[in-house]
Parts: sequence; C-alpha cells; structure tokens
Amino acid sequence: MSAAPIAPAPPSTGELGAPSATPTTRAFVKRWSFWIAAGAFVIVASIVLLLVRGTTEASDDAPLSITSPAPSGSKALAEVLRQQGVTVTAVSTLDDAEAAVAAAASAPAGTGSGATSGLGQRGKQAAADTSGAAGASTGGANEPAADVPTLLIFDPDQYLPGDRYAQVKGLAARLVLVQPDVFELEGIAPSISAAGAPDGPADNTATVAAGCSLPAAEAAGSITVSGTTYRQTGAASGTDTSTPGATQTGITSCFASGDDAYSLVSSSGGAQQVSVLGAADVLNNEQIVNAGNAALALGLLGHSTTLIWYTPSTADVVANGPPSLGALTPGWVTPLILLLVVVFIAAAVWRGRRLGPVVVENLPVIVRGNETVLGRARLYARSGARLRAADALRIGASGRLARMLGLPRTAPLDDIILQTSAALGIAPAAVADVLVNRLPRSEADLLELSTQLADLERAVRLSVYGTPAAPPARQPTALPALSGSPTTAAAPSVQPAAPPAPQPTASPNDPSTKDES
Amino acid sequence: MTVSGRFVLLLALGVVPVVVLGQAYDIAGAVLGWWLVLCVLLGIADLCLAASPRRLGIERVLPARVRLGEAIVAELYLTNNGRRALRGVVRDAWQPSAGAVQARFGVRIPAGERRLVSVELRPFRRGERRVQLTSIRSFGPLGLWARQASLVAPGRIRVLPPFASRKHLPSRLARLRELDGRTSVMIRGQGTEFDSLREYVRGDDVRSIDWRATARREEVVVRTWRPERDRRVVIIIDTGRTSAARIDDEPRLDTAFEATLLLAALASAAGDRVDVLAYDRRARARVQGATGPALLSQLVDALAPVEPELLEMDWSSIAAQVRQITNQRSLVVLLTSIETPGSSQGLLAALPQLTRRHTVMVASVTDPATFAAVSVRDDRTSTYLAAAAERALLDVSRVSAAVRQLGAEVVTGAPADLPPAVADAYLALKAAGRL
Repeated sequence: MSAAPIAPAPPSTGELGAPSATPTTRAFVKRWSFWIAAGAFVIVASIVLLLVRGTTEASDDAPLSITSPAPSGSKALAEVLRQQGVTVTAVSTLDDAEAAVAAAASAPAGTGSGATSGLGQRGKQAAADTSGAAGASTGGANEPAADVPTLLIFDPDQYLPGDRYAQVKGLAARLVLVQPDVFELEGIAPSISAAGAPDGPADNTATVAAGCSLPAAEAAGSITVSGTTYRQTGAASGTDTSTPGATQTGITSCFASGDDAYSLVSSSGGAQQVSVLGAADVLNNEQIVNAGNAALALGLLGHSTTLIWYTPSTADVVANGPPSLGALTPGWVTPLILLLVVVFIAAAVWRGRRLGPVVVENLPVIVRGNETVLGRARLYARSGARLRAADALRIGASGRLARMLGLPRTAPLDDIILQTSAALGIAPAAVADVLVNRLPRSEADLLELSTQLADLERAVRLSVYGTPAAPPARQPTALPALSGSPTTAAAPSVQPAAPPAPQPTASPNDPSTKDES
Repeated sequence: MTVSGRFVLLLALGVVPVVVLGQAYDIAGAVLGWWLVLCVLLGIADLCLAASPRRLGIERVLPARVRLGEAIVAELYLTNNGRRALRGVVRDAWQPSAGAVQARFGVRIPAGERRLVSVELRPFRRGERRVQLTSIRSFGPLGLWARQASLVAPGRIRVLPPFASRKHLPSRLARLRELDGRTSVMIRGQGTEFDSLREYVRGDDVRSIDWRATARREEVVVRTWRPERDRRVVIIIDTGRTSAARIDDEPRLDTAFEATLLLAALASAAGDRVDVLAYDRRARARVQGATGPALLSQLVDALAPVEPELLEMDWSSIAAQVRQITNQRSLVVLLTSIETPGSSQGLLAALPQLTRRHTVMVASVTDPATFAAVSVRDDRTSTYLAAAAERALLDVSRVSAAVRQLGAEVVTGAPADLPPAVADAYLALKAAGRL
C-alpha cells in the first residue's frame, strides 16, 4: 500500500486513459457474436422442442398401454373405442381411478349417448337375440348402465396391495380383470379361480370357440389362445362340462381351452358384473385383428360410455416402515444446500478470477555442470565397471603422487612407485600392488583399494609436506601393506631392488618422517 | 467483471434468513430466491457505480539499468481521468524474474487526481526485464462487484551483470602499479618501453644511465622504462551450448562475464585496448574501440541481454573474427570450457591459427564439486563417483596439456576464482612482456 498522494495533478494528457488490452463489452460481444448467437439459438431451439414434445402424449412401452403403438400395446383398441364414442381414460393409481369414476358418474349421461348407439345397440341386439339366463344377466347389467363406467384392471406386476381389493371391487359396476393373479381373484371375484395355462399352445396360434351364451363371446365366435385360464370356484375338473355356458350361480365360462379351463369367465352376482379375461393378448395391437378378438374386446369394453383403463403402478404400493430421511429433514435443508452451492461458486469466482493475464517469460534451461560426471558414475556403478573405476582412481592418485614427490608429469609409473616406497619406507611391491597390480574382484575389493589409494596419498602428503592437507589425519598404518615388514619385502615383483634414487623431497628411510605421523 | 470476498460473505449471510424463516414459516425456497435476487441487484448497482478502470492514465518512471542483486523502485503514476473516484486494486504485471516484491497495490484515486504507486523490484536474472500490462480492478462503493481491465503500459529495465569480481580489482591494480614502479626504475627489456629521462638518484641501476644525455645536461641522467602500453587484448566469450551449464549455481557464461569485466577493467587501467566479442555461430555482443570508463559501461550494457544459445561454438571462424578486430599481435583470451577431448576438438583445431599470430589464453571454469568428489570414498556410490570425477579431471588435464602444447596458456578455476585467476595470468604475461 505505497500509494501516496502526489503534488497537483498534471494536465491530463487525454480524455481517456492508457490504451486497454481488455476488450470492452461491446467489442467482446462483436467479436464473439457468432458464438453468442449460436448458443442462444441452441437454447431457444431446445426450449421450443421441449414445449412441443411436452404437449404431445408420451408413449410408453408397457404391455396393454393405450398409448403404445407397439405390438404389445393396446392403442388400436383404445382408438377404435374412442371412435365409437367411448371415453377411454388411462389411470395408474387407485386414487386417479376413483377420481375418474366419480367424474364419469357426474358427467351428463347424454354426452356419449349418440356414439354409444353403435356398440350399445349391437350389444342390445345381441342381448335381444340371445335368450335365457345369460341374456338376462348381461342385459340386466347393461340396460341401465349406459353411463356406468367400465373399469379394466391389468396388474401384471401385482402392484395393487391386497387390502385395496375391496375398494377396487366397489368402484364400478362393470369390472374387467385382465390376467389377474390368485390373490386378486380372491379379493375381487372369489367365485372364480385360476386354472393354469391352457392345454394347447398359448402363443396365439390356436383358436377356441366361444361355446357360451355371453353376448360378447357369441359375437366373437372364436379367439386366439394366450395367457392363462380360469374356472368357476368349486367346479372340479371332473364335473360335468357338457354345458359350459350355463351354471347356476350366474357365472358364465367361455372359450374352453382344455379340461374345465376357460379364457373368459364372467360372473354377474348382484348389480355387479365381473369379467375375468385370461387371454390378455386378445387386447393387444398385434392380435386384435385375428379371429374374433376384436369383437370380444369391443363387446367386453364397449358397453358403457366411459372406460377406465387402470394399470396399477408403484404409486399404489403403500410404503411402510420408519419414515424416510427425506420426510425427516426440515424443509429448509434443500434451499440451504442450494445456497451453499451458490456461495461456493461465488467464492470460486472471487478467488479464481485473475487480475490481468499471466505474464510469460522465457526462462533459461538449467543444466547442472556435473551431470556428465554423475551420469558416468552411475554407468560405472550399474555395469559394475570395477577395473575401469579402479584405473581412473589409480591414474588420478599416481598423478598427484608424482606432483607431490616432485617428479615430472611424464615420469614413468615405476619411478613413482619407487619414490613413493622410498618416501614412506615400505616395500615397492606393496605400493605397486595398490597402484598397479591388484585386480578388484568384488565391490568390497574396489572399496578397499580406493581407501588404500587415499591412505597412500595422505601418507605421502604427510611425509612430504608434514601436514595431511586432506580430511582429519587418519593413521597411514591403516594400509595393510604397511603391516608387512618393510625390510623383508625387498621388491620381489617390481624393479629388481633398485635402491631408490635420492630425491630432494624424501629420503629412502626417513624414520623421522614416520615418527612424525 | 469479478466479485469480492464481501459479496461471497453477503451471499453466505443468506443462511440466517433461509434457516430461520424456513423453520418458522416453511418458506425457505422463496427466501432463498429473494435473497439471491437481492444480492445480485446490489451487485449490479455496485458495478454501475464503480469507476471505469479504462479511464486511467498511466505513466512510468523507470531507471534504465540496474545491477543484478540490487533493488530499484519503479514508479507508476496513475491519473484518474474519469468522473468517479476509483477505489480498487492495481497490479503491475512485471515478468517474474524482475522480482517485484509486491505485485498488488490498493489504490484510492479521486476523480481528476494522480497517485503514485512505487513498485520495488529486485531482479534475479540478468537481461531485459519487461512489463507490458497494468491491470486495474475497480470496486463500487459497496465493494461487492468490480470492473476490471488491463491497460497497456510498456516498460523495461536492463539488468546488468553483477560484476561481483570487482572486489578483486583494487588488489590487481596495486599489483599493476608495483609492476609499473619496478620496471620504471630498473628493468629494461622485454615488455617495457622507454618512458623518460630523469636525474639519477642513489639506488638507481647504473646500467640505465644515459651517458649521452648526461654529457649534454652536465648531470647524471638515467633512462626510465615503463611497461608496454597500448597492447591489444581481445576477449572472445563462447556463448555456445556448453556455456549454459551451471556450476555452483552460476552459468558458465556469467562467470565468463565476470572474468571479462575484471580483465577489461584491469587492462584498460593498464593502458591496453580491450575488444570483446561474444560469439557462437554469430556475434551476440561486440564492444570495440571503447576506452576508459565508457568501456565498462558499454560492456555491461552489451553483455546484459546475452544468453547461452543451444548451438555448437563455431571455432573455425574465430581466427577470422580476431583478424577482423585487429591485425596487431595481441592477447586473445578465449573464455570457453575445457571438458573432454571430444568436445574440445574444434578449439584444438582452431588454436594453431591463433597462436601463430597472437598470445592466446584459454580460460575455463572447473567444477569444485568434481574436485570434492574425488576425495570422498565412503561407500560404493561415492567411490564410483570419485572414479568418474577422476576420469573427468583426467580429461580436463589432457585437453589442457594439448592446449599448452599448441602454445596457449590455460587458466582454470572455480567460478569464484576464475576472474582473479585470469587477471593474474594477464598480469604475469604483462610482467613477462609477452603481450
């Protein structure tokens, strides 16, 4: 903070300040206009697409879904029903189903009356043509129920809980259960029970004849076989099946596909008619065109002006157990987390925004001068080049020895050995062993040799200059060669016992020098 | 545009209403929304009231030169030409190696006034150090949001070689004077020239009595001699790839500069003419014909921006370069590196051409770490290192011997010792009259 006021302001050089390296907002927009426009276009296009797609019905692939045009869907049936004036409403929860039933009940009955005529008339026609109990049963339910909604329940995943069956049962006067399981049957239509798979192939290749007096079944004549079959409760498989269409409890069984097994069983106890359809494929887009499938489907479902197509979903499953974490958290936690996220982003901008661009500078390469030496040392060590390393050490040591002993640079090694042995009073053979002859056979040998070379140098320096210039004086007696008596080792290997030439720096046997050390 | 820590704090304070009102009335979401809207509105208002950083006039007052290792103050005058008072942060964007002690300064400049920002610089690298931009962040009255702009305000300083070896100069000058005094009284011969006649005093060498002058003047007169003057010293600095190597954390090139400066100062004090050429494959710096105090200032100026190049030194053209500088017999000092016979081939090949006409001195930095490594033999690793160091020293001594055989002098030394060693070698040559 070394901003200090300065004497009167000089006449300003210009209206504006120094030229700016940062583009102004206008320049920025101008420069990036294409990308800004492109981004805006993408966003707008996405929003428009989303709106357009959002208004159209989303089709789902669930079987017997009235919005699915897939082979397993039921859109064809629903569309035909709608064309015939039946209001088809798909619901996925019991509450929605109840609401739909209530709405249908409160709606004026006349709305669909004109359209109802097609199917209703045909149903009535069929009812009029048929005689007997069956006609009375269906027609009796049919006649006043032009505006009583039909409720179709298809629950292949068994989402509907068992304690809701009673509620479902009381929902509508006409119920159509498509492939119900045993629990559903027990809850809604206790007089009907499951009879297992049909005898023949259940892949819609075979057809079965109606064989009953139910108007819808009669109109259909025959249907393809699929799904499962049902029978009247208590009717043993061995009982008389010669008259399948007529039973005493108002239960009509149609499309027998085996031994007391029917694809359609309808019970009309009281004011309520419950139809159980085992052959679910009759309703789907793929099979509805075959045999009398279409007639059966329209006859079963086209009775009333309102058809509620109820496929229970996970929303019907009642959660039990302890309340979830979401239910326990207070309402402000989510907003708080959002706020903290915003704070984090703001803090990132605060700390991360640079004050001006990065300044670049060409920096010199750093090359350490002793890299080659280090590299060579590691190469020696890796390849175990003991002899080469020992040679280097020996050449260096002998050069220094020669300098200390006052020999010329070109002095032969023999002279150096002789002079050294003379200076130290040890046998030339021992010196030659260290300086030339010995081969380092192991790493330990090399270490020992290098130590001996260093000791030799130190001893010579001590004897010549009187001071060991190198690190703290170690006793030159550390040389193992010194322990061998200097007198006995009369240079057996090297030069034939040539008496060392008297040198100005050292005399051959100089006890005083040794004593000093 | 940017936000301040104050804005972040303001946002964070939203925790209180979100939790309290959310707990009491269960309207946390709405509170959050309104709080964010409030903060952003405050920020926008703040931004609109901030002074424009673009309307700032910038003037710099910079010293042109600074020696490496010294500190200077770069002055930055900021004039607010806008209508609102500017409150904010200024960053003077010097290159990192300009060594700005403090980079950001808080400023408060009323409309139409001028303020001084002093930026202290301690450059840690030789050469041209530049500044291109000055960035200003201008906060509004609430200090929440800020406007930001970088203004172009170029400036540069030249960081000169430190010339740390000038501490050796007084002792070498004293030696030079001794040399002067000795030769002026007694010595006659190689390396000296006739200076003047003066009256004989007791102690003068009787052999230097000029009998003819004595006869003319009727008193005993002696001739005095002085060291030769107006010799030529040509210093060639190798800026090739080997000059980049760092020894004791100093590139070879910088050591060469130190040696050059010391030798140039000494030689010009001794009355010789000094020419300097920094060369690898072309001349990187050249100082010719300067004398006296101008020589040193020209030298540091010319050498300051020279950096090692990743090129092999072209030794074959050195003889021609020297011939271009002078035809006289002169002392040619080659500041290069002597490492291995392989890498010194070019030097060895070019030396005969030079030594035929000139006295040649080859100066090279040696690594004290290598010398130290030779005597450490504690374990396997250090023994091998000692062997490698011995090998390196052996190489150096072989090349040195070859250079000496070709008739040139060799001066080696650690980075701290090389400049005085070169100066001493020059003095020795001068004393021996070999210039």
